[in-house]
Amino acid sequence: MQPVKDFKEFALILNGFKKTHDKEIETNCFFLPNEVSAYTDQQRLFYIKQDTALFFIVNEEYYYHLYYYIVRGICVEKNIPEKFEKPVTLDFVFRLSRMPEDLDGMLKRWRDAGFADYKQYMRLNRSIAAEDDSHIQNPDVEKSYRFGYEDTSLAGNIRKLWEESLDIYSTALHSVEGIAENLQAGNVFYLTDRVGELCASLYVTISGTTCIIQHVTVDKRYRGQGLGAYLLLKVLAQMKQRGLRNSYLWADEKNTSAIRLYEKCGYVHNAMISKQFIYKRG
Amino acid sequence: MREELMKILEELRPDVEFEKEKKLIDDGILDSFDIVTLVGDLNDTFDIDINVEDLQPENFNCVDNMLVLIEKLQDEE
Repeated sequence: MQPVKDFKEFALILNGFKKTHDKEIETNCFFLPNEVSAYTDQQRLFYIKQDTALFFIVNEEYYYHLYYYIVRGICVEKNIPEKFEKPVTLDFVFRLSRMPEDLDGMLKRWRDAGFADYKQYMRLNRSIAAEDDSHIQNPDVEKSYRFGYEDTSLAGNIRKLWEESLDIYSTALHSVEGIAENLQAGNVFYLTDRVGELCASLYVTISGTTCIIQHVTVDKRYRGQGLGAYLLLKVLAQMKQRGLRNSYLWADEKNTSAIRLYEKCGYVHNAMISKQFIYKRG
Repeated sequence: MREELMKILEELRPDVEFEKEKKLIDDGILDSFDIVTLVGDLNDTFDIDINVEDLQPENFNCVDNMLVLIEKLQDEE
């Protein structure tokens, strides 16, 4: 596994592979140049090159995420994931209206290589500008909880809440320092109770006029009071003030209570799916 | 060429008014998944080879810029 230095090297490796194999290549990779640079700046991007396959690997805290370019019809070597000391995940993203050709064959290939079916996520969208946010008002919650996004002393507790509540093999978590930076930047939001205890949190990344909502979590001691919906709608109102127009998020298809919450907040399934696989040694 | 491109774009994202939008990437209207799907369609339809270096936001921010890219790559073929 070799590190990728920068985008230039990434392009060189990828173009070299594509040139050798013309257009008969299958991939699950859709990096844009700025995304590659973000990974290489953090020294988290690696590659493995073989005759008929090229793998890019992103090193996350609890897992490696695998992206591949494979010559169509070639079987994946079974020993590939054995090279990694952490679990390896990979995903296929597709629209239901446009399923990849031979999807079953692609999925079977990875199962044959030792990967197990893991989560399936669905993407939900919501327009921000057009929505009326008057239904945010929830007097009970408003009275008892405080909405915020600046207190960096909460970073450690937010990290703990995310680690306990989210799936660590399909979620890239920030370090405490990273969370503190994102609190300062206004990308992490939270609710605290009257004594300042953390109750709920979420993370937002912004791409132009679109915001991607992630890590929506409510501490289990505070669930069932509508805090998740309250926090999410508060954040969307903030995003509206910042001039954003759209929002989307990914939800585990089996997490029906989360999906209900998002639907209640105006999100609709946009027919995009992320099918995930995992390989764990032993 | 424009008509063919518009057909591809409308099929890809029927919810977007492509003729109006001038910052499709910078505004996050098209994401990286859309771009890669689009690139596959453009390569097949216009018999070009869009490389990863071509995936710069300015090349895909609006229909006119996409047409410029397609024409440039066709001239290079």
